Amino acid sequence: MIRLHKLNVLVLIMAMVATLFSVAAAQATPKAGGILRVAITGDPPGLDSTVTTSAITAEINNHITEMLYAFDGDGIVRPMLAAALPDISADGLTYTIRLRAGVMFHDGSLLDSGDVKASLERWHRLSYGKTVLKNLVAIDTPDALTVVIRLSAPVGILTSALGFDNYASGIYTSEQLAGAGDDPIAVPIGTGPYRLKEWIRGQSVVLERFSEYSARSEEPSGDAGRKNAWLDEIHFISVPDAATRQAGLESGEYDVNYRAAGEDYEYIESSSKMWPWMPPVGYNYTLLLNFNSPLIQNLKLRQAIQATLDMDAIALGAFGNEALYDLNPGVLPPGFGGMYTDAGKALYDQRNPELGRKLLEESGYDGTPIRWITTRDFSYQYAGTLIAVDQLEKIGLKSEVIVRDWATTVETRSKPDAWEIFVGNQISGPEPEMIAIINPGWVNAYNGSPEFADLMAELRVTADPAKRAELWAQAQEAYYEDVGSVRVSDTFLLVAYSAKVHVQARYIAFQAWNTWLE
Amino acid sequence: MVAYLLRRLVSLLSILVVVGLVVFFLVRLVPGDPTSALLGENATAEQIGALRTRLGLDRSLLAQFGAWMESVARGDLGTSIYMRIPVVTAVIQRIEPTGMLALAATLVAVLLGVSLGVIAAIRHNTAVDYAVMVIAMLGLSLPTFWLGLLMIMLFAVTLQWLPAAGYVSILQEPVASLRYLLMPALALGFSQAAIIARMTRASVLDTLGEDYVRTAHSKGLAAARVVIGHALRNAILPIVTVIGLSIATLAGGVVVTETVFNIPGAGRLVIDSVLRRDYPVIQGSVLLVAFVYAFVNLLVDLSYAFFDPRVRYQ
Repeated sequence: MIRLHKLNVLVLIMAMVATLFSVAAAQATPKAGGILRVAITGDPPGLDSTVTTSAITAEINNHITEMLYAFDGDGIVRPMLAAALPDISADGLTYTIRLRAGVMFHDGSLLDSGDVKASLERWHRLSYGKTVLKNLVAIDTPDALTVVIRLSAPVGILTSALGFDNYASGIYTSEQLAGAGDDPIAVPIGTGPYRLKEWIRGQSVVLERFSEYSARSEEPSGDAGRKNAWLDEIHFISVPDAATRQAGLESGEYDVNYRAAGEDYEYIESSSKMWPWMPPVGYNYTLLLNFNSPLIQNLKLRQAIQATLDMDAIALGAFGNEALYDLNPGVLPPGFGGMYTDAGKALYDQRNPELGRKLLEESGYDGTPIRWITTRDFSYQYAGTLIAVDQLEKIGLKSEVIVRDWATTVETRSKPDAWEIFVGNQISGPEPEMIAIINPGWVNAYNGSPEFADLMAELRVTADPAKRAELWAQAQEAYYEDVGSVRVSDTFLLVAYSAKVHVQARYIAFQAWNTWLE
Repeated sequence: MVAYLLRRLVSLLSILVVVGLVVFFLVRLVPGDPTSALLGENATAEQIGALRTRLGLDRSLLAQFGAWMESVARGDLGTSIYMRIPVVTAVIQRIEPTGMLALAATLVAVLLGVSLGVIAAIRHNTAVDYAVMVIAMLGLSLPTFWLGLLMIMLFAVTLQWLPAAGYVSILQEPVASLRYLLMPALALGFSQAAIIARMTRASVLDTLGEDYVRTAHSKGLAAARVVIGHALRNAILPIVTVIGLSIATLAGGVVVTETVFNIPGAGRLVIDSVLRRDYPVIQGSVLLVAFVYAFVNLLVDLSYAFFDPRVRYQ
């Protein structure tokens, strides 16, 4: 028999502990190299996120271009290409932005104020900047690293908007902007940690590490802070079929399933070969109401719908797993930025068919069917529609479900007299002005009761965070009282990663910087 | 001959104009336009309007048709609205994967179908015959996409023998290309193999009872030689007819197979273009197919005179 001396046992235990720690450290230590293969849902419509609201374009483009500001993991806006947050004049009409020195574009040129001016002017001309910079007087460039934005009236969310990646104010070289004019930029040249290597239309977008990338020094968080480009290349591969994306992830063909099916959540979570991730900012899953329809203009009828529906049943039926949605009354997401409020919660998720029936009677409803437009192209839209229709038929609301393909549904939705309700995901964000559903420019926006409209008008010119939060709470209350839409839940997209993929920071959207492969 | 050729060319042109006219107005009858795919669903009305103007979609349909026909007459099928590359380039890029898949699936269908059919005929009314017919019924009944997914689960996910999806050009990496093609070709070819097997079995069964087959046997010829050299050879005509028909049917299955196995082929291009309302690609693809079809017909007609000197064109 082998007899172990006490000291030997101690040494053995220490060695085992050291081994365990070294394994853990090895797993936690980022490693450079490798190709990350991301199975995406289809060919992006372009790579210029200034001219489209497409999520896939934004998420690819975020690797290539950067904005003046970026949101961290908590939804707080931080400087990115700007050296610091802007100096705002006391009257809120002048924003002075200092740029970081020595930031290099992928073509080797250095970022200067002329590039920022050209990019922001294009954003103002073609994109979300048209709404945000409605009161723009001029963009000045007093020196190579200073940009001054002059306004005729204050803008509440200018700094945040300059970091928002939907209809993004990405910074490009002034030369490529001059060449592109108002057309989308085909080959974006940005300052991001990765640059475009190849784009085979309909097949893949290949990005490669930009070795001269000028990273910030702050700790990584969300889109903000230091961006480490550990991967040699990122291949975004177009794989439209959801089952094929998942099978490819499991067989090792892909490292990331960019949009996994909700019903696979538990399977992915329980597997040792992969892990699930959901962005903290989801979508606002809601019953969009067409206020052009006389039926919907009837407040009592809207209130009857709001009172009746069981949001948990709708969300569970639509998304298949409780992990993929969150029942809360906030039109803005909780835990992301400082604007979440539960104002109006008494009117949210009432599950009260008796009250619904009573309100429907008071509305004078004559039995005209409500026309629901939906598509089978997105199962959550179709399932949610059918469940809501079923619940409302029980209080006597008649329905006609119109099922079309997605392109037809979008077009039908733009016709004022063709529908009453559409169930779907509306874009969410840290500020109310970033939500399409209450953005007056959007074709299906809720233009609001006079009270709501007044509050939103005041909000748009208010920059003080505390005052903004107070105004928004009042506006959300008015929104619920007028039933601007019938909110169901926040919903989260599901991304499935191979177990060999590691990420360092808290992401807010899919990103492959600060990501490494074993 | 020259007059005949000119007449046929004029007729070909008129066919193309009619096809162009039909496809142009048909795709525009379908609701939806490309702006939602390009701008995303949260675009403002102003941005949608501006894009429609930039794409020329706000002009009258006749003006749009005239402009398109004019560019087609110059040999330009237009540029994809979504992909922003010439339609001809888009189609050419996708022809190889589709062609390879169709060819491989046809090979699978013919080899598997004829072999199984002959075996079933020889082992008529035995367990082997019944087994082959059950396989054939399965092949006819299983949807291609479902069979494809099952194969991916087995051969790619569980056994990890073959890649789950994708395509590699045979010109670049021949061995890898075959690995990628094997599963889709089997999935697509299996249903057609079933049809061919059933027809082969019936046809060979007929000929096996013929006098010349009995004579061949009585002469002492090897069984394999009798079956292949006599029975199958005389049964081949209806089998060839079925093979021809199955190739046409196969074209429909290509689209589904390309989607399941993520093959960037022409079928997926057309389907994606329809979903995105990418008018130039839909119009250009249909016109291109019509042109190839009509032109090949013309060549075939002209070739009769080459093969048979008695044929004269006036």
